[in-house]
Amino acid sequence: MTFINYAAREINCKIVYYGPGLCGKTTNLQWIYDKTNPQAKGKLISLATETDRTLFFDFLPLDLGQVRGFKTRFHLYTVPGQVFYDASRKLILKGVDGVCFIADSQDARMEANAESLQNLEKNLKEQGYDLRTIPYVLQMNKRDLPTAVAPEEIYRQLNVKGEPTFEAVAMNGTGVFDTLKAVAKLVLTELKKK
Amino acid sequence: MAVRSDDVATSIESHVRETLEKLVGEMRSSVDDIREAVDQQLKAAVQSIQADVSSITFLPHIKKTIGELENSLKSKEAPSKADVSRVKKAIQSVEQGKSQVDVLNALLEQSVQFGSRAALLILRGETFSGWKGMGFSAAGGNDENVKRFNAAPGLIPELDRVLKYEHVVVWDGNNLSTRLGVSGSVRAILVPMVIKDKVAAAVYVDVTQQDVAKFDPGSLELLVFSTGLLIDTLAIRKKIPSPSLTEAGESSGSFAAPPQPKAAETTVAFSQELPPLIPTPAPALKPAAPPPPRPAAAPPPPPKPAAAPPPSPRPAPTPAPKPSAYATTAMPAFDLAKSGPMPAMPGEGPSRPSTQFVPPAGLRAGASAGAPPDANKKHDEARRFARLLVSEIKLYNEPKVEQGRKNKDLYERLKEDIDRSRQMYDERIPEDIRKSSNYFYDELVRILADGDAGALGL
Repeated sequence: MTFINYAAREINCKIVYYGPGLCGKTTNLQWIYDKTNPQAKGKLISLATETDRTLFFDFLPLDLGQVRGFKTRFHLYTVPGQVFYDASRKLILKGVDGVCFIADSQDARMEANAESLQNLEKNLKEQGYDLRTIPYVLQMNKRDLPTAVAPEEIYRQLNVKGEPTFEAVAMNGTGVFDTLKAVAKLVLTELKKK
Repeated sequence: MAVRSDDVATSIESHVRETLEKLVGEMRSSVDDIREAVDQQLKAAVQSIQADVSSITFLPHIKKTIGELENSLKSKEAPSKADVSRVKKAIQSVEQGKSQVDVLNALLEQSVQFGSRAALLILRGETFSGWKGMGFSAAGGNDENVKRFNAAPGLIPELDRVLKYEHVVVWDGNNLSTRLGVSGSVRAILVPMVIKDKVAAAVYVDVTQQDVAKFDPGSLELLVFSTGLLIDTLAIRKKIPSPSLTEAGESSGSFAAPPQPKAAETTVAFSQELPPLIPTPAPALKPAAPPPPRPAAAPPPPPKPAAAPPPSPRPAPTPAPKPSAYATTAMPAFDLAKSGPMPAMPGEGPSRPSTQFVPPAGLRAGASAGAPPDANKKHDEARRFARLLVSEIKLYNEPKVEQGRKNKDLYERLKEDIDRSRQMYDERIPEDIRKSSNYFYDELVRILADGDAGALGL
């Protein structure tokens, strides 16, 4: 849930990058961190092993300027993608304002994408959220790989409600900021409604 | 007193005889001196000639001639041997890649050995898009520009031919190299790369005048062909490097085993420090009895064809570059009250096209997130979930899986992951399905142990 500090005139929003194991969630955050002005970002905390396994979460605070005189600060989190880290994912989803679902475009990971999406919907529901109403975007990552499934097929299988969908190659930054901008806009639009 | 004429005549005759004898003696002496002098000069001349003759030898000339002949023979044989050796080394390098990205990077690195510049163009629909280039920066261009290359049908006739006729094209390459930001191509080749029985990309290699001797279309075709097969079989190949490409060893009877890759021990170390959020691991897995025959009322669906194996993990994200390497700008402020698109964020170029996917008209989002599985599909769902869990264990633990198979102690090495996954399986899959089957164990044997149940070490 968005936290507004009226005294400090500060709005804090929480964005969670969700998706199956090794789909590129941490790579998205790493790219954002690398390309952002040092004054606009905090420290990237990443608990990942040598095999790219995110053990608990990655965290990156990011300032996105002023909204009606309030300083907006986005807290970007990733979740561990492996199926059996479900308890960690549930915990990280608490208080979420927006979700980026990072899909792995490789044919061999389509089952894992579907499983992760089902898991997201279930865990959101447990926290009292609805995937169909929460600010949500879909990123089709690893578009550069020759075994990538056609975007139309991924859209058909993974797009839930016509949410903004982006093609990305997170390792070289393609689509990374488009995805972040889209979810930030949805979160702020939702905030404006409230 | 009268002198007798006979006496006078005798005296003259004697005097003449003496004089003649004296002259003959002198002449003999002179002749002897001359002969001796001539003899000496002849001897000296003979000795000199003998010395000259003995100093003359044909051995160096013969050696030189033989050397020249050998060199000319070598130069005739060398190219074929060298070419085979270069192709072998190139394929050796490519096949050691553990992920698609590794393999494709190695392909480009090796391709420039047979030309000046190389680029991989991925086929999306009917458009070829640059994936990566090598050698362009060294030739006055920029490797990064290759990534921005897009060729719709009609732009480059040679790419159209690759797409339409699916064959190799060789030409001067000028029209394509110019689009890729360089010039000076005198020869070029486009080799289609087939993955999963479809042309998925084309490898472009060109050569400048100064490198023209390097250009080797045959080697490039072999290299691209092999790379396509390597990507196709990436997830199922276990013998890397391939024994087929090892150096020939003498049959001395003693053969040193190749060095084993180090097991990734860090996973265990980290896992032991996990916060208490992680569920307690399930009890140790036991080998399951063969599943009993299923009830006729609800027969399980026939087994699916072999599941797509998990892809190899991609290389780790590149570490954060030094701040000076990038020109970062301040995060822009934006005002919600203003309508329109979000302002540009740092790191994205102003002219960068949007990556938003616009679905074709009529394409509907159809994700069935959270839909409960049909009762008749419970077995399918159990099998699918088991496959997913075990695939992830393999995906995250490739080196351990490889070692566990060799040492037949997979369970010991992967106990934590296997137990946790088993717990997830037991929590998700209804008891009646678990009692009548053991898909989790089946997938452990199939995916982790490669069909050898003994390798699990249970």
